[in-house]
Amino acid sequence: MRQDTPFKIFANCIPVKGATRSVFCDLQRNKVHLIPHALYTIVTEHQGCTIKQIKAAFENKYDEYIDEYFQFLEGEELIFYTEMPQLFPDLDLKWDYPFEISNCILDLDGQSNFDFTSILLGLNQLDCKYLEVRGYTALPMSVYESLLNAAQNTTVTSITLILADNDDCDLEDWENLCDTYSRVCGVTIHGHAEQLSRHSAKFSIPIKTVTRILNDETCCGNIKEHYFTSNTETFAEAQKYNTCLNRKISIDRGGNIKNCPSLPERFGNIHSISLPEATKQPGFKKYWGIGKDQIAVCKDCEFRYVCTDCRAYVEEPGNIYSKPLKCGYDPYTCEWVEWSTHPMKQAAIEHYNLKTLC
Amino acid sequence: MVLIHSRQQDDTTIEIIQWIRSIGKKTFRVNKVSDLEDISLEVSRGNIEAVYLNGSGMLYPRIETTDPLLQYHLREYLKNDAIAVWQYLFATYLKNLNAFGNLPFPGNMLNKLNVLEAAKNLGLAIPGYEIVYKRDRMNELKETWERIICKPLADGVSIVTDEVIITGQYTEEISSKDIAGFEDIFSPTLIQQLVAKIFEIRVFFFREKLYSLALFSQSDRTSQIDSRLNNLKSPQRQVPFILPDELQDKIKLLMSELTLDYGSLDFIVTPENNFVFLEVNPYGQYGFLSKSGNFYIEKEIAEYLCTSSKL
Ligand code: SF4
Ligand code: SF4
Repeated sequence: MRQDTPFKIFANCIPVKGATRSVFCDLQRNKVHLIPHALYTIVTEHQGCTIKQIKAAFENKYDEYIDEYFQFLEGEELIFYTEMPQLFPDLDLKWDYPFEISNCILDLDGQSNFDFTSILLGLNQLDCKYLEVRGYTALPMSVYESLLNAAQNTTVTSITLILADNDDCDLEDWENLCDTYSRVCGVTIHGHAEQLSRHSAKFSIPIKTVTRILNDETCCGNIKEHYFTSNTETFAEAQKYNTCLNRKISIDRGGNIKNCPSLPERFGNIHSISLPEATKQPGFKKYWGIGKDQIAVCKDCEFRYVCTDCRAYVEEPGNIYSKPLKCGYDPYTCEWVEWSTHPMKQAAIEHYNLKTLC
Repeated sequence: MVLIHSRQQDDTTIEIIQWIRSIGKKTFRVNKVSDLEDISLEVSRGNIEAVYLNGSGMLYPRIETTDPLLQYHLREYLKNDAIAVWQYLFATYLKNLNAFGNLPFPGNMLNKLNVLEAAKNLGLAIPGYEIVYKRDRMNELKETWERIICKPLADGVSIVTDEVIITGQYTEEISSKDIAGFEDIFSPTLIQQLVAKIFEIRVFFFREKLYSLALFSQSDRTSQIDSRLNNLKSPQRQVPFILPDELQDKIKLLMSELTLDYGSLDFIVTPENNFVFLEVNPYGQYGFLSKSGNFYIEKEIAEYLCTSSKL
């Protein structure tokens, strides 16, 4: 520990203050460190000072704590010492993306009779890159194959499949699918008898099975600690935009074009309107600019810039700025509880008709 | 439309193409010898408005023969012919267009020694260096400078035959034990003083603009000599950096002297906080720098390529 050299926080390690405690978001190593407010104050208000000066500022009453804090900061490589702190600027948190749409959710069940070629044509016109396909009922492999064939030679280069277990298909079949279509970047099979995971032989695509059953779009919207992402892109986007809905387009099971399949607003049906046209409808981007700083409770949460969001299921239906319903975290008590049994949430659960909590 | 010549599957190039498309311009991607005909065609129609070049992406035809040596010579012959066409296009029709990058052909390469000399003349601090031919001299330098490194004078080595694979562009430290094993006399070798550093600076220069990152590699032993070999688990810290004004001016002068409007430059910062210039790389990759600094360099390059040309 260097007591006499000014310290500086690495610009990609950003302290964020919550209601009761703070965090250090390490955007380079995808880590979130919980820290007390006292440490937050030291690193933000005394940045550019030496440890000796900081100790003196606290009248040398807390020397031991301060040493301990700096041991932690050094150990995690969150700070460094330099005589030229003025040459190290903060990270610029601007966020930009070349196109209006970056990702798409496509929901499928037995009734979804879609023309994949025209959907993929629309996504290609939008320059969409990511596609998440969510299948709620078992469909023949040929359906997925025709979808993946339609995606070839389009801008949709990363496709994630979350599909219902199909008795006719075993893991080898899914593996073959991954190794045949290079755009597939992950497969999850839900409603499977056991939890398995493996990688495909050729392209090493992750394939896993889960026992959980996804009945329909109401299963979406869960906020969990392990969904947090601590990287520059998410952190910067979260400053001004919604981390789930920004630049997203979706097609629900009935072919309705929406921002997300769970939201009420529809912008036409794929049988009658093209995807690019739908994005031009008034209100299509309504949720895109709702960032965590505008959302009740989240705005006081230390995880606000590494968390995902949900605007489809909120605690107070009708208030688009209210907290995600399916988040069990309370930034005032710092506790995680099961959201679905929380007494305060029952009215909203009923409102959204979330009968089967998946 | 913007002519793109780059490696296939290069993420940075894909981003450039996306930004160009978002501005509403078309791209025309080439990397085969047979594409030269299409380029000439588009040139004659006046369709090419700007050019983006990144790395060596040209694919040359493979001639099927059983004799590997014959195959090599045939390939070289065809390659040089293709290069002549490229060079002609760039000296004539494509010359006045907005462009990013340099064609990675012999003749476009920078001479490291000339660059060091130019830097020194501009008053940039450079590490001690010498071209060494004899073991005795190497020993003397090792004694004077304490730690020395060996760098490739040109592009490093890349020899792949049925019997051996020798590749290397990296900088190596030379120990006294190494020197003891050398011949008395050897071919010219660039020896540089290993200057102690607290961090490295990578600068990307593009049309008078500078983007800089500080790279902290000290905590990670394996990367002390060359930070490109960095540890995957805890990647070295890379944070934006503001170059002192005087250094910025010198970099601009150096680049103009070398007639480069883009390139990356390496510096080290010594424990005494001195900035020591190491080298310029005219084909430097800027993707990681753009991401680490959240600079959006790709967008700026695309915007430049889409503005009307110098003509
Ligand atoms: S808004 Fe909620 S329901 Fe919709 S996609 Fe996002 S998380 Fe899922
Ligand atoms: S309170 Fe908001 S920001 Fe915090 S964890 Fe829950 S959803 Fe995320």
